[in-house]
Amino acid sequence: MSLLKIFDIANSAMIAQSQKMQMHASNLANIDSLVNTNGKLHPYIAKKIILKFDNSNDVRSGGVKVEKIIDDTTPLKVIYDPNNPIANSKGFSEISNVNVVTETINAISASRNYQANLEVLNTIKSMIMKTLTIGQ
Amino acid sequence: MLNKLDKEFYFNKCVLNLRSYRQELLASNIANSDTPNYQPLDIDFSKALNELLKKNDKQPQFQLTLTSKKHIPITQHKKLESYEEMIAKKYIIKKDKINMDVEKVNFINNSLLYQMDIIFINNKFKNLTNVLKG
Repeated sequence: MSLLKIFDIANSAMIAQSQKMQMHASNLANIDSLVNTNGKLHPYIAKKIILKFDNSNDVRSGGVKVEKIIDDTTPLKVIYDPNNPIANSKGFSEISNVNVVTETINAISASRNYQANLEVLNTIKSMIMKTLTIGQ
Repeated sequence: MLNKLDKEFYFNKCVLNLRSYRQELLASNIANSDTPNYQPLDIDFSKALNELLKKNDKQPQFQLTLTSKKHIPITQHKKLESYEEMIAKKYIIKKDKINMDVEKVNFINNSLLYQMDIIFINNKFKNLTNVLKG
């Protein structure tokens, strides 16, 4: 029954969108963080999620899945901050490339998409309940 | 009697099947609103429904009871291919760009029309039981 398939589609979209919201929250929270890689401190690099259309066994409709998580390639900003532990000899240090405005807006957009899929679920539920009343 | 029931509800059956298939495509469009390079799909509803109804006309209206293997049936039964295959072959419309508002409106519209058809079916059943009760 194709109505039940829609549950899976909306479910996969909700999972993907909530993962996206999680990523944006983590980016915003770590805007001032330093990351320790190979014994050296680096500023936190923003992460991005790439979504992919997930149609298994070659049907037309399908859900969404998270294809991969990539690093944002925006160049790091350099500011004058001699007290920073990663500042160079002239007192300049790199800071994270997280853009607060972009992250906030993308998080809002993801939450709207989540809501849209929730509404899809509610609509499908009422359609299935109506279908069960046939012949009563 | 059962044959007549089947014929009576054939139209509603086609509509329900098409509507639920369309609902699936629209849900997939809404779910993939953020996916890069996704091509939103829809079906050409009136043409697909016409095709299904035409198939019904080709089916034999009555059958003869065959008591021997040498009896010849009136027409050969051809197995109907499934709706989704038939529609997927001919009646899928591909759009270039996704418009969330249009998809949402279509989704709600389609769900209401589906529920409307269910109410029609229920009314038909009520009519039939009224006639049977006398």
